[in-house]
Amino acid sequence: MKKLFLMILFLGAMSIITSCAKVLPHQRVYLNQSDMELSSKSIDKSEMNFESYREGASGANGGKVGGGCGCN
Amino acid sequence: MKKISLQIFAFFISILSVWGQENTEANESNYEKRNLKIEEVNILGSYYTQDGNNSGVTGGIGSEKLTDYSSSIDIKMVKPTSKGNKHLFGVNVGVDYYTSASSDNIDPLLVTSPSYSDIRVYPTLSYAFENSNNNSVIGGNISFSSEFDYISRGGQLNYSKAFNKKQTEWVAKLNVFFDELQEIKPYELRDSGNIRNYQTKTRNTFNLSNAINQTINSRIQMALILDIVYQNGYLSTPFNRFYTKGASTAVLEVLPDSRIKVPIGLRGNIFLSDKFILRNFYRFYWDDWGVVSNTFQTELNAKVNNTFTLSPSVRLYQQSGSKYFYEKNELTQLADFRTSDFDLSNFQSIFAGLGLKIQPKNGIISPLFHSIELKYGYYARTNGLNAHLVSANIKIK
Repeated sequence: MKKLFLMILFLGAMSIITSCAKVLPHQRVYLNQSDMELSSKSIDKSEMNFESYREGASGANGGKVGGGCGCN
Repeated sequence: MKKISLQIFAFFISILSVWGQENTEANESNYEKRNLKIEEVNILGSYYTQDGNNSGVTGGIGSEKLTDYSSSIDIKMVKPTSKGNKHLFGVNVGVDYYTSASSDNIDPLLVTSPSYSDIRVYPTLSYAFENSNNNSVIGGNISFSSEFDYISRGGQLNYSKAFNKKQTEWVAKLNVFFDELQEIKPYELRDSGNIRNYQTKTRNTFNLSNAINQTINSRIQMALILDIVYQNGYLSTPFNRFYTKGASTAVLEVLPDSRIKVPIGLRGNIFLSDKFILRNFYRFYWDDWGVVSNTFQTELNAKVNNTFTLSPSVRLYQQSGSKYFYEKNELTQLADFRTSDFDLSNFQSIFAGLGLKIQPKNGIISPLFHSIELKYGYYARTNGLNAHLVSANIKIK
């Protein structure tokens, strides 16, 4: 199961990178919008914090991975 | 709490007054100034409340009622250089105030124990240098967190570089946290001579995070994030109880003194149209305590008009429980490592939220107040825990 998942992830990543179109600076008008940022939003900081307390998993989302009581 | 809030308010007002002075100077001078200026301020507040019946303090059965009020201010400052580069400075100060019903069961002899309510204060200072010649940013931060029974000191080094005509960006971060916690055991399990003399334990966390941000086309961009987290030291929760079948008294929770965690995240944002942006996130997580989880989150940002944006979102989460998790009275003999903390049990959860962003073209009241965001979310776990979260974010630019 784990091997299959890693294989799908690898193939997915490869297909994404190889299928990219060239985007010129003046064509980035949509990509530069604040909601298109590839990071979590400030408003979601508290949500990510409590989820890292209440769930076994954390990380890879810009949230806490340590440094406070209760954070797994 | 009131005093801290007033101090934060005074700090905020002093920043605004500095802002005002800077604008006046700029109008009076023809020189190109490269002074330090405030780029953005975010003021964040939230209220969180939860309830359930699986508290680890009482061995897996008992109230999990908890409320948390959180507020923080995040200030981003920039100082351009003569060569077109930038020095970026950041100050973040957060204060949490929480009350927890289960914490009151650590020491039932105290009417309201110190852990029943507590204040956590966590400042962070950051610096980064943005080099526009080679499209790279190098920086770091130092952080501190303090509450009654827990002190944390942290640091981060980060580096990012854009290449492939800025279509691809590599971001690397190394985080470390050195924590000290008071070993507050359940009252009945303390040494009779030292019932309120707590030992200090240490816990360290090291996190190496790598991300590749990739522009797919003029409407889609994606990020692949791989974290590797290593923790060592005292990783148990000292006040959690554990009960075996037939035993009249509890024993302590015991967990291994190291843990390796590997989360892999995939983020994809799609500009569907001028009205709709779709933000998606998937995470696979594995750790050597036996927790394997999958998280899927999606959010639609729908522009109602030039001022209002609605953001409905849903997050689905599933985890397999830790191999050290046992329910109350499940074991007949003690295991070396054991916990009845339901955060490490087998469950699924859902979080559904609705956000509203108010961003008028000319600001709110003044152009200084760029936008206000409000969000409500409801969280439910299949083992009965449920929570409500209300957040607000004021952005000043």
